[in-house]
Amino acid sequence: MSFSLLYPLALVLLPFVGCFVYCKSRPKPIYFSKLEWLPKSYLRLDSDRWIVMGVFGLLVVTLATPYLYKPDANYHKKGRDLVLAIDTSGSMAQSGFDSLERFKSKYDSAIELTHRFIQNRHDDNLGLVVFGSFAYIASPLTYDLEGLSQMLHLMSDVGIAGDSTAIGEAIVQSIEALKHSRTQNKVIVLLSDGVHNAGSISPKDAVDRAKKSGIVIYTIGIGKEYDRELMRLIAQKSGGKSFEAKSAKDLEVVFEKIESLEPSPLRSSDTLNIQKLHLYPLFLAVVLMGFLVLRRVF
Amino acid sequence: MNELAHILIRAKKDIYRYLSGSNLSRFLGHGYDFAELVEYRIGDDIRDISWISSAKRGEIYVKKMHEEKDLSIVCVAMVEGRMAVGNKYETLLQTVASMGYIAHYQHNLFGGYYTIKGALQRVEPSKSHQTVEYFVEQLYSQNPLGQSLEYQSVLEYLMEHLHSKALVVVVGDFLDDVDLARLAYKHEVIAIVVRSIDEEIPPYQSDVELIDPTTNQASSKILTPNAIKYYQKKLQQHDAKLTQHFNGHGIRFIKIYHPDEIVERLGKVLA
Repeated sequence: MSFSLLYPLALVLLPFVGCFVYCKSRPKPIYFSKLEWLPKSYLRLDSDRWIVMGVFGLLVVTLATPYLYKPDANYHKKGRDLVLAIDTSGSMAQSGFDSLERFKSKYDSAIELTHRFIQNRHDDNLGLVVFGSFAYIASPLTYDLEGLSQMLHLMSDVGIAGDSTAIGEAIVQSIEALKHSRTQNKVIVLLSDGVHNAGSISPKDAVDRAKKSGIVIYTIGIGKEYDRELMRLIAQKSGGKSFEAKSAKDLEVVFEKIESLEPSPLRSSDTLNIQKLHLYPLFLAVVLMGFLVLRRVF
Repeated sequence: MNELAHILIRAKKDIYRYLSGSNLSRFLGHGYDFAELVEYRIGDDIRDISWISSAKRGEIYVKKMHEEKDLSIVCVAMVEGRMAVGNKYETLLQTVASMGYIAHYQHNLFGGYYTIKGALQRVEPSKSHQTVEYFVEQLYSQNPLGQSLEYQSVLEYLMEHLHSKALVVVVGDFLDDVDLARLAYKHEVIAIVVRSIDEEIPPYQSDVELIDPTTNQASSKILTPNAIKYYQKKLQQHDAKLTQHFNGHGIRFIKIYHPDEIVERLGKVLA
């Protein structure tokens, strides 16, 4: 573990702690009857002043935001920026996709497996695009997998974006989500069970734009009634692969295949695994201030 | 109205309003005020034999009466730097004035001593109220700051120079060790301890410079909550020792913190 400061410039305030000794106002003179009955003082400052100086120092350290990080652990980390584009059109509500649970809809199976997929993406930045008659970014790229899982629940549902299927718009929104990505491997995983029948952007134009941006699209056709040719073309033109998942078990296998694709180094390796320590000096400062107040009150 | 006049008028007004009857001396002698009944001993005046009590008890008893002769009140004002702390000096002035007016009211002799830079100055005793005013005026003109005092040497001087029996009222803060035993053996002694509340319970102040009022020198010591506790413990020990000393030698004493409580306190100690 290495130690560093997020705002080291804040430490320029630290020398001002000397002001509590040298810049203080002239003390008020008072006559005291029996000075010989007071104990000898070895420190010129009383304890209150030391406490105030301590509080000031701790607040400056808090401001500088100290943190611990593991540089080695991150430099060799590999991963990719990946956007999951999930079809939420009306057809995803059909059941019979999972042989074990016959009444489970395609959408529910897909979401469940997507969750599992997300949980294993420790080294990836993930984004989420939901599409139906139109598409929207449900979550921008993030490494907060827990948050992304929650967004998957909150921001998607069958029919939430309309009953039709706008594959072109889904790809464009996914490109938008990857706009700020700096990794070499930018990937869109497109899950759909239908044919392109909505939206103002054709899949062809969308794929061209993806190709220009260096984005690889993996397509997963769910069920049996999806536009196989279109999904294959999208994958092929962008340099990706097209997968077919006729059942929930197939979909699981497809996700495993995608997982095995070669990852690339992450864009900001040194900001991961940071353990910020600023709360400790802040807590100590608050405790000292509380002690000071209590001492004055009682 | 200047401050001196205010002190004198206030003392006079308070004393004349609240004091009535005569101040009882503890000296026994010829008077009309009964003190106690004791068995006859050789040397007692046979005129004092209480025939009724003797007849009742079958032994000879003598009635002892409080002395009614003119009392000489000697007020000793211990003026020193510490008197400048808080309102102690005003309390001292008011106490001396009050004692003077009590003496005047009761037609007793009143005089005394005060210290200037450690040396004793005498105020000639008289029954006139002018003596009271002169005494207080002399005290008022003093600046106690920077003055130090050896309590014991003052008391030694009094022992040497007070020949006739008197009621000696010593007014000071009694923060130094003091031995009034010899004085109390010869005279009736009342100790009036003048203190300031802040002196007994010093308030905590974080940014102060402590100055010794007897030398006007700043000290390197500081006033922390712990230092205050330490000081108060020392003060309590000193006061306990002082109380023991007073009680052990029959010295009546009172503590006064504010000019407003002088009359009430003096009333108690003189009753």
